[in-house]
Amino acid sequence: MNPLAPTTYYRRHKAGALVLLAIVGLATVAVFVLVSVLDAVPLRANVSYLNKLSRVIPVGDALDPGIVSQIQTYPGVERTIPDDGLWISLPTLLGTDSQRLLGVSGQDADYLMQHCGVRLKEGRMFEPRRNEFVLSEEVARALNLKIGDVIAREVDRMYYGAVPDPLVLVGILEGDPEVSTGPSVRLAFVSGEYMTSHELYAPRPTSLIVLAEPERRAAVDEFLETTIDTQYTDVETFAEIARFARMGRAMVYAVFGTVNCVVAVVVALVVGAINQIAIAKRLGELGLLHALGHHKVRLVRRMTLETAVVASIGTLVGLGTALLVVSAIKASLFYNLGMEMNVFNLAPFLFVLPMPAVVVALSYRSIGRTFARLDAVSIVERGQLSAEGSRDHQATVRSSVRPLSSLTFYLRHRRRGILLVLSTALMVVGTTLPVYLLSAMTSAMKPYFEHLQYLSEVSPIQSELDPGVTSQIRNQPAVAYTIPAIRLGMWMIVPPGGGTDVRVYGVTEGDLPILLQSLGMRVQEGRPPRPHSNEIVLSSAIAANRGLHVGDVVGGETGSDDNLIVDDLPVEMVVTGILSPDRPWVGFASYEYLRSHEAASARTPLLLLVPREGHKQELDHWLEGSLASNHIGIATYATKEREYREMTTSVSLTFGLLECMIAAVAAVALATLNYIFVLQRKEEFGVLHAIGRSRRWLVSRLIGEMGSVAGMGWMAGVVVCGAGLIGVQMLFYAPRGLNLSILNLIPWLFTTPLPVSMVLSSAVTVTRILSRLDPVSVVERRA
Amino acid sequence: MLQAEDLTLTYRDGASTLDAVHDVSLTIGDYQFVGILGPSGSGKSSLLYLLSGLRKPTSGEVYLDDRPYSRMSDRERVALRRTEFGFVFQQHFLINYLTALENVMVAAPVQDRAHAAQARALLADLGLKDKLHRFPYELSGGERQRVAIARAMIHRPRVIFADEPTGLLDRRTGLQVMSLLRSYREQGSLIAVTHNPEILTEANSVIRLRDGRLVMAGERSARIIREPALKPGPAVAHGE
Repeated sequence: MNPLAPTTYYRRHKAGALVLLAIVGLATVAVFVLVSVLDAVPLRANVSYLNKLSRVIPVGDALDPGIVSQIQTYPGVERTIPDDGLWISLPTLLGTDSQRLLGVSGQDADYLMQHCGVRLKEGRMFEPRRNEFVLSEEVARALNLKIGDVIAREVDRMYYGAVPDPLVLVGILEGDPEVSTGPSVRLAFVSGEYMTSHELYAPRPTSLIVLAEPERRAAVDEFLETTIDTQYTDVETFAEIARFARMGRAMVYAVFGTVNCVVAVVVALVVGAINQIAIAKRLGELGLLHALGHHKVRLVRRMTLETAVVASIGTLVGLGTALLVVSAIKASLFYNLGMEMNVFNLAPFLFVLPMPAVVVALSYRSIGRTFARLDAVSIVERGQLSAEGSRDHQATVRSSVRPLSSLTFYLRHRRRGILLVLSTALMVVGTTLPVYLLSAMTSAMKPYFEHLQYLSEVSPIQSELDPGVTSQIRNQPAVAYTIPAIRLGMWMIVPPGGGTDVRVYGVTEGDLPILLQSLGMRVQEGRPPRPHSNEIVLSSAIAANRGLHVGDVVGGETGSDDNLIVDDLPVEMVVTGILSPDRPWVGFASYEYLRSHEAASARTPLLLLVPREGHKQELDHWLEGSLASNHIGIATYATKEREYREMTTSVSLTFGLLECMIAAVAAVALATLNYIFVLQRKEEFGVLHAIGRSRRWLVSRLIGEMGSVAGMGWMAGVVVCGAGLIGVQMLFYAPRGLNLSILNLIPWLFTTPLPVSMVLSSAVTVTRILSRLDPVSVVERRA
Repeated sequence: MLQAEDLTLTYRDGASTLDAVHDVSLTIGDYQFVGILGPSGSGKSSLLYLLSGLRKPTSGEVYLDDRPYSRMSDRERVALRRTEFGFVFQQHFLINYLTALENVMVAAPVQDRAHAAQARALLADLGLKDKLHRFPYELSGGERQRVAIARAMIHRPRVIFADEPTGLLDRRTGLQVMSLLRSYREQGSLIAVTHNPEILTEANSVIRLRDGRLVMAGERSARIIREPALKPGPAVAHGE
C-alpha cells in the first residue's frame, strides 16, 4: 500500500472529494445535456420526407409543362408524382416545425410509402375524394392525434391554419423494419382528388414529387437545384435542408462552445480555489514531506495527480449521469414530440472532455505557483508557506472604522474577491452574451413590419380578390385609399447569420406619393421609379444593409453569392432612389411593369389600405373581425406583432431555460465554494455569536458579502455585455442599417438569473451552517 | 445583580449522563470580582457559559436583575451578551484578517469614528498604542489577549466573563493580563474562571467547584482574598 498514492488523500477526506466530484460532475451533466438536446434539433432533417424524395414547387399558378417534361426525362429520375397537399405545423423543442400532407392518389401514396420504407400501422388508408388523411405515428404523437380525430383551422389556428375544412385522421403510419432500420421517415397523406375538387382547397398550385433511383439521388438533386430552381420554380431537396441543418448546428456549436469554455474556466477556478484551501490545510504534511526529502516537483505532481484523479472520476460520473438524463429526455420529451435523438452522439462528448483537461491544467499551474514559495522550515515552525509570506502581510494597512463591512473583508481577501467577481462576470458574459445577442438580433428585426403601423394589407389566399370584397373595402368609412399592389420581397441581413424578409410593393406612379406620405417618407436621393420600368426605390436602411446605391442592380439572376440572401425579386431591378428616414423598412417598384412582366405577372395583386387619419385601429379591427377568411389574408400591425411576439417569446423562453440550467450549475459551484469559505470562518462566526451578534445578523452579513461580489461580478459582466453590444452595433449592425436597442430591458433580464441564484444558494447554505452554530463548541475548540 | 438558582447542566453520552454542573446556586453583586476555581473537568467553564447565557441549563434558572433567562427569547439573550456582557476566552479568538483596532471595534455598539477613538484610547491604556494596525498574527500572545480584553471592555459591559484568560500565557504576562481585568471592577463585575488560585488574589470572593458541585464560596475562600472589594456586595453561594 502506498500512503502517498494520488487516491489516498481523497479516500480519507471523502467530503472534500465529494465536493470536487459534484462540481465537475454537475458541470459535465449540464454541458452534455445542453449540447445533446440542441444538437438533436437539426436531426429532424434526417427523418423528413425529403430524405427520400425531392419536391419542385411552382412560383405562379402551375409548373411549366416543359419543366415537368424536362424533369421526367432526366436520367435517374425514377418517377414523378403530382402533389396537391398542404402544410400543417407541429410543436418541436424550439417553436414549431412544419409537416407536408402530400396530396396524392391512393396508388401514389402506396408507392411513396414503399419507397420510403413506411407501412400502415393502425387504421386504414384514406379513401379517394374523402376528407381523410393518414400520418406517421411520431407526428400524430407530437400533435396528440389518434384515429378519428379531426384537424381544422377552427380546432387550432396555430397548427392547422392551412386547413379551412376539417380533415379526419383514419390511419397511422410506421417505419417498416423489414425495409429499413433506424428512425422512420415522417410521411403524411391526404387525398389529392379531394383537395383538387373541394372549393375551399382548389384551385391550388400543384407541385411535383420527384423520386430518384437510389444510386442517382445526388445527381438528380444537383440537377434540380442548378437547372430547375429558377424564378419560376422552387426546389426542395434533402441537400438544401441538410445545409440549413448544418448552419443551425454550427450556430449551436458557436454559442455553446463559448458557454462551454466559460463553464470550464469557472469550474477550473472553483476547483483551483478549493485546492488552495486544501493545500493551506495540508501545509504541515507538505512541509514535512519536503523536509523529509520529497522534491517540490514531485509534490506538485502528486497534488496535480490527485486533482486529475478526482476530475476524471467526476467527469466519468457526470457522463454516466448525463447519459441517463439524456436517455430520460429522449424517452419522455423527445418521444412525445416525435423527435429523434442519438444518445451516443459524439458532439457532446467533445464538448465535455476539455473540461477536466482545463481543470487539471489550471490546478497544475496554481499548485506550481504555490509550491514555488514552499519553505519546509517555515511550515514546520510557523504553519506558514514561507517566511516571505508573513512579511507580505506586514505591509498592511490602516484600520477601518467598519471592520465587519463587506468592503473590509474583501480588501483583506483580495484574491478571494477577485476570484468570485471574475467567476461571476465570466458566467454572466458566457451565458448571457449569446442569448443577449440573439434577443437583440430578433429585436433588431422588428422594423420589418413597422409599415403596417400606417397601412394594412389585404391579400387573396388562392385566386384574385373577389370584386364584391374590394367594393366592400372601398366603402368602409375608415379607409382613405385602396391601393392595388404586387408584393415582392428583399432580404435584410441581420448578423450573425440571420435575416428577415422585407416588403417591396409594386404600386402605380399615382399611388406612390400617397403611400410615401402616409409612411412619413420621402425620396432622399435619386428619384421614384418610372411607370413601366424595372426601377425600384428602397428605404435607406435596406440600401445600407445590402450595400446598394442609386444605379445598382438587384434581383433576378443577380443574386448574391451568399446562400442566405434570397430576394423575392423575380426580375432584375435598378435602384433609382433611396428613401428616408431609414424606417420603416420598405421598397417600391412599378406596378405596371410587374403586371406586364412574365416573371411577375402570375402574382396576384393585393390591396394596401391607407386609413383615414385616426381610424387605423378601427380599420384593423374591422379587417380582422369581418373580412379575414379562408380566402382573404389580412396583415395588420397587431397580427404581425403577435406573430413576432410568439416567435421571440419562444426563443427567449428556450434560451432562458437553458441559461437557468447553467445558472443553477454555476450557483451550485459558487455556493459550494462559498460553503467552504464559510466553514473556514466558522471560528469567526462562533466568536461573533458568543459576543452578541445574532445568527440573523451573521447571515445577513454573509449574504451582504456574497451579494456585493455577485453584484460586482454582475456589473462587470453587464459592462462587458454592453460593450460587446455596442461593438456589435458599431461594427456589424450600424453599417447594415440596423439598430440594436440597448434600452430594451428584456435582454438585460437574462443577466440576472446567475447572480440571483448565486446569492440565493449561498443564503441557503449559510443559513444552514449558521443555524447549527454553537458558539461554546467554537470557543472550546470542539467545532 | 446576577443570580443562579439550582443550576444543573447534564450532558448525555448514549445511555449514560454526566452532570457538568450540579445544583449550583449563587448570587453575584455588581462591581465584584468573582473567581471560579477548580481542577480540569470540574465544570468551571460550563458554569460560566450558563451564567453568561451561552448555554441553557438542563434545570435551574439564571436571573439578571430578576429577569430570568428562560423567559428571554434567543434574540434577547444574544442582545444581552452584546450589551451587558463582555467575554475573554482562554484563546484570544481574534479575527485573523482584522487589525487590533478593528478587532476591538467588532464589539462596539456602533461602528463609528467616536467608538473608534474610544477603542484607540482603550488599546493605548492597555499598552498597545503602537500596535493598533497590526494583525493578530503580528502580535505576541500577551498582546493578543490584551486586544481581546479591550474587545470585552469597549461597550462597557456590566459583567465581563473571563474563561482561563491567562491559561496560555507565561506567568508574568498572565499577571499583567489579570491586573488589566481587575481594573474593570470600577465599571462592572468580573467573573473569571481559572485553575490557578494565584490570579484570584484580589477577588472579592472565590467559588470552588469539584465534579460540577459547589464546594466552597464567599467568606470561606477568604484566605486567598487579600484585598477588599472596591464596592460592597460579595458573591454568596447558597446550599453548600
